[in-house]
Amino acid sequence: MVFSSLIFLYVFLPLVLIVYFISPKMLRNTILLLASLFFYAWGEPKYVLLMMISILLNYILGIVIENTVSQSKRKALLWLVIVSNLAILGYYKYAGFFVDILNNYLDKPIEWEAVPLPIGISFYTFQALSYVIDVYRKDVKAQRNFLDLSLFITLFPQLVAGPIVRYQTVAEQIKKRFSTAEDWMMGTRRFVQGLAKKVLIANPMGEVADQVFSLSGGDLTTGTAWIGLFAYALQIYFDFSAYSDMAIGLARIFGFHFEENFNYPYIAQSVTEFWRRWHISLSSWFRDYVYFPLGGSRVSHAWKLYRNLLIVWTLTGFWHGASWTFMAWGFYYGLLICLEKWVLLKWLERVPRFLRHIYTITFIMFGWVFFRANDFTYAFGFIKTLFGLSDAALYNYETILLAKDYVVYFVIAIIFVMPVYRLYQTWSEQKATASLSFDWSLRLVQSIYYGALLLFITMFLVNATHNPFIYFRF
Amino acid sequence: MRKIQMYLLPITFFCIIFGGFVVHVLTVDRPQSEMENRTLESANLSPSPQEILSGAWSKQVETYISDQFPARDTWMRNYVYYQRAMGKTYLNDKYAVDDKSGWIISKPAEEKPDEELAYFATDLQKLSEGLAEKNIPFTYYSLPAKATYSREPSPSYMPEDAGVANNLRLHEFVTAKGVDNVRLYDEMKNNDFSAERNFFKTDHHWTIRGAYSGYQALMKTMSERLGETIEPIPYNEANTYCLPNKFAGSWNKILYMTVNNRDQVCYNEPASFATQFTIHVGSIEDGVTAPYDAVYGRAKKMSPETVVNYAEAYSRDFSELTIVNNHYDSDKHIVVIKDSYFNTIQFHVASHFKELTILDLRYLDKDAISYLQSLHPDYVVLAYNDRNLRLMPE
Repeated sequence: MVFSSLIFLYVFLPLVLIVYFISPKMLRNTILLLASLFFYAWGEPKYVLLMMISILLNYILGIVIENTVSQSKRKALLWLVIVSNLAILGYYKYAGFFVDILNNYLDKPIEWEAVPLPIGISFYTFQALSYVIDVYRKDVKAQRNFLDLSLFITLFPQLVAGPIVRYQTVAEQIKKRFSTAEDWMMGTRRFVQGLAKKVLIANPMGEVADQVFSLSGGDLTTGTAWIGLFAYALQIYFDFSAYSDMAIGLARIFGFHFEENFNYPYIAQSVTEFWRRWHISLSSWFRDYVYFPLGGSRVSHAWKLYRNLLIVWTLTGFWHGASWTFMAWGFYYGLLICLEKWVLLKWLERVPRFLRHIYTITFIMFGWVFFRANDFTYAFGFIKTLFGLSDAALYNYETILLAKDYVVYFVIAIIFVMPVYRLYQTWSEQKATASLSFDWSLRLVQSIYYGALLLFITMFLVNATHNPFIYFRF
Repeated sequence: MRKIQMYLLPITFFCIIFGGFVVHVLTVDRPQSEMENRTLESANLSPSPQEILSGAWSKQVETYISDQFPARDTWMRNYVYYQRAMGKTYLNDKYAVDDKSGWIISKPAEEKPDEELAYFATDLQKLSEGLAEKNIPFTYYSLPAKATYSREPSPSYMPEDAGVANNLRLHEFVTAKGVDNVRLYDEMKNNDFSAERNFFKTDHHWTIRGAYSGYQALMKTMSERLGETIEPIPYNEANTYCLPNKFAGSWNKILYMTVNNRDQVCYNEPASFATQFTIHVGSIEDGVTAPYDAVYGRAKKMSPETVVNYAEAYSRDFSELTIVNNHYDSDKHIVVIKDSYFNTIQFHVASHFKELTILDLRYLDKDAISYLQSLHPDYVVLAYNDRNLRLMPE
């Protein structure tokens, strides 16, 4: 089920909220778990079982690891967990890719029928892995209650597209949590903000990007390519951060406090900073469970540091999808971050701020070409068109049409890429703390504004036929 | 005390989503959408386990919720207004609107690939050859479509519509396949052809004036082929009768009737039409007859406040209609395979022949060639507007 759908907004959510809040506290986790399983099963009925098997495996091995005294046995068990989880993920996500590679070298190709990718498998597998690794590291105690562990992994706000929640973050909240009036207000506000970002900005930007990236070489002009690339860069940010906003908001309504997943990444002044602001839960996952175990930056030789960075970033790219372009995209960031660590960051400190922004945005945009393209031929062809190095014209009617029809959306998107709204929110909340009358006025205006915004969004949803989130396919 | 105001937003939010749910449950489902011209999804309350497991049922429910959402047409209409306010060139990605004149202009068509045109030409060839086996002559007619000949005012930067080019290329293909064909526009263009006169502003069909020109050109070319002298009924302005009703043009309906216009449904037919035909819904053997005013011009009987569409104004699409004429010029049995353009002039054409069978392949549940052979007609015509490039029209 998609958050930005009528069925979620006007059927699933109100019913779950009613049943949850009128139920006794002891039943609330069970209700949330059932709701989450229903939420998942709605689109993927067959794969609920797979997810439950994955949870059971991690539940049992988590307890076994905790109860095992011998360090070597604990390590062996940990590897068993890692391999089992990655085997499930690998079968569904990467097997086809590797079979294709192998078939290039085999006389008799392996027959492989592609299996559909279960939604959210990359997210819940990583979430489960982090739990067992934390148990192994004795950072957390193994969860003895199977329902509670299931709830941690399947909790519907974050189940299919993150953020990747750490068990440490919510372990206490699963046992005991309070939904205060402030939680409801903040949660609702965050959810509607996310919904607006997705429906009012990401979807129109997606229309532009889809149109441009579907054009064949002859029809793609330099101007159209730039419009398409800007649109995609904005779409992917608003789409994914909107999902995180909605997940964080919904969780907050139920009393869960998730970590932030985005922090205005496009205002970053270096690629390194960009990745501290983009999909924070994924980059911190790789940092804690891959980069640090590899030695991180505490290594005997500098080359090992760069090796570690390249491994981590290539894996980050590969996490997004089984293709060379995703790997290249990750490796590209690995290279950039190595370069920044080596010398670039020092140079950047000396140049004016706006040049640092331009540098960062430019390299991020090129990255998105590889992220979006299905193959390198298309990616390089697209980049050539961007710089007028192909036979493409400078612009055509499509360029004018897209620019004219979507200029307002671009302007709004660019404004909201910057932390303007957060500044306003911080200011207004501070003022509300100091003045009760202002607080009342603010809440009243907010109710009207977000209520109207919700109705405005509904207008778009009634018209929309298909608006999936980009990160659903990861 | 500080807590109370915190509830305002969550309560507003909950009232909207829960209110939407309650209204949805209480609202009676609509079977059909007049604006979208399609059947709306109904509730499937007893899905099979297979439907549930495959995910087909969940998709069906999502469509149902969307289709039956309370005040769906109002939301959709407001979305069109919103697009207009935002300056979107092609509303719903389809039509540009000129508010001053009330014209709705379609997005320019792209050039069709040769394969697509050749495919249609091959279908026509098969039809023609199948009929030739029984010595039944056949002609393909393309009728000038509004989308092809009503292009102004289009944004200046947009490319030219490829409708004319596609139509010309199609006729080349059809000629190369040895199929007799007529591009009706060529016969009509000298007869004061203009978009203003010939087409509705907000509908994709021709007006009675355009249709009449088409009828005259059709009869001229048909009589040449039949080797008979059949004079079409001359256009008599005095015979023109217009309804006071508002018109729901097909393109305006797609835009949720947001375009103000002066389109008017008019008729131009001799009074004798009301009595000179025996109209069979289906074949004569089916034995179902209908009066003239139940088939053609049903809108004439509607109250002046009723908004009428093209089908109500002229005729709806029947899978088969057989018109037997008591006062004919020619004793021939003609079959016309048609799309909705022909509906306006079906009785004008029928008035010249002893028998006219009208077939609409979209609804005809029979093999076309063998059925046509079984009708033993003297002549078969396929008359589609020039945007229809498939034997099974859209």
